[in-house]
Amino acid sequence: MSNSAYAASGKANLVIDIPEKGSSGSANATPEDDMGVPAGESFSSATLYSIIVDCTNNPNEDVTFRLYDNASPSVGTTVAEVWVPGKRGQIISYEWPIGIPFGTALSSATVKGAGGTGGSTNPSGTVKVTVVCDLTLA
Amino acid sequence: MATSVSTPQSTGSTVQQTKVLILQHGATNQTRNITGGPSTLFTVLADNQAASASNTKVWVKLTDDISDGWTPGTTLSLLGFPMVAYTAADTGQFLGTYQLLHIGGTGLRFENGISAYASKEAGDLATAAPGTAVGVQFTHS
Repeated sequence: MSNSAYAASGKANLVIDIPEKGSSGSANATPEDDMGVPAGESFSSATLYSIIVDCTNNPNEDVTFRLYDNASPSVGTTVAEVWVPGKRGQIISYEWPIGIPFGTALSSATVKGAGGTGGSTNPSGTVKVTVVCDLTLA
Repeated sequence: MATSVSTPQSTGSTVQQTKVLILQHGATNQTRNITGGPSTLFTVLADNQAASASNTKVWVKLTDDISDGWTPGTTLSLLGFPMVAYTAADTGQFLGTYQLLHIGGTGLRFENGISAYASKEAGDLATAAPGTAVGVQFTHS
């Protein structure tokens, strides 16, 4: 992500694709640490507005997408701030118009099965996730 | 402590609204069975109007299980999100807050039923009760 996404105030409305748009990869249990923060910059705050979990190419099991208020979560141990399910073969969107604040960082992981803490197994298929948020740099 | 409010209101269609008051004390009272399964969830409106110094952040957690006797802390929750209470800049008093979740697409299907509880701790198995009552309203099939 380039610094050009940010205004002079260090604040940006971001659409974060996991994995990056056009990638053939999958959102998985390897954490996406400190999302949206360019190299050399640091997180100040974020407000989450929307998550879209696309499991159209993950037909065999349900998954959970977790967001952590933590810059370097340990998947399976760190407690998630927000967790939402992705249903096998479906696209589901979750929208919080009021927003959910994050004060430390915005990191994520996608795992097979339910739950906001335990479990660190990759989905068997390809999962795409889109996160919409405001993010302010320090 | 006030008694619980659970008033399913059929609109005559397949979509209903169920409003519950999740009580502040005791793990049993935290748990609310919303509807049997299969059911599809469309919206959640949570109300933390009684925010206070002991109730600054509350998570609403939903579980795909409505069987009698399930308790928070044992069954993995399917979905969880927080409400954060703010203080007034001029007075420092806590302000009540709402949190609305809208689930798009065809909604979120719960095979066994929708159950909910609230906790002042994050994580699907954390059970510490909120400091004050939290109202939660659901729109579901």
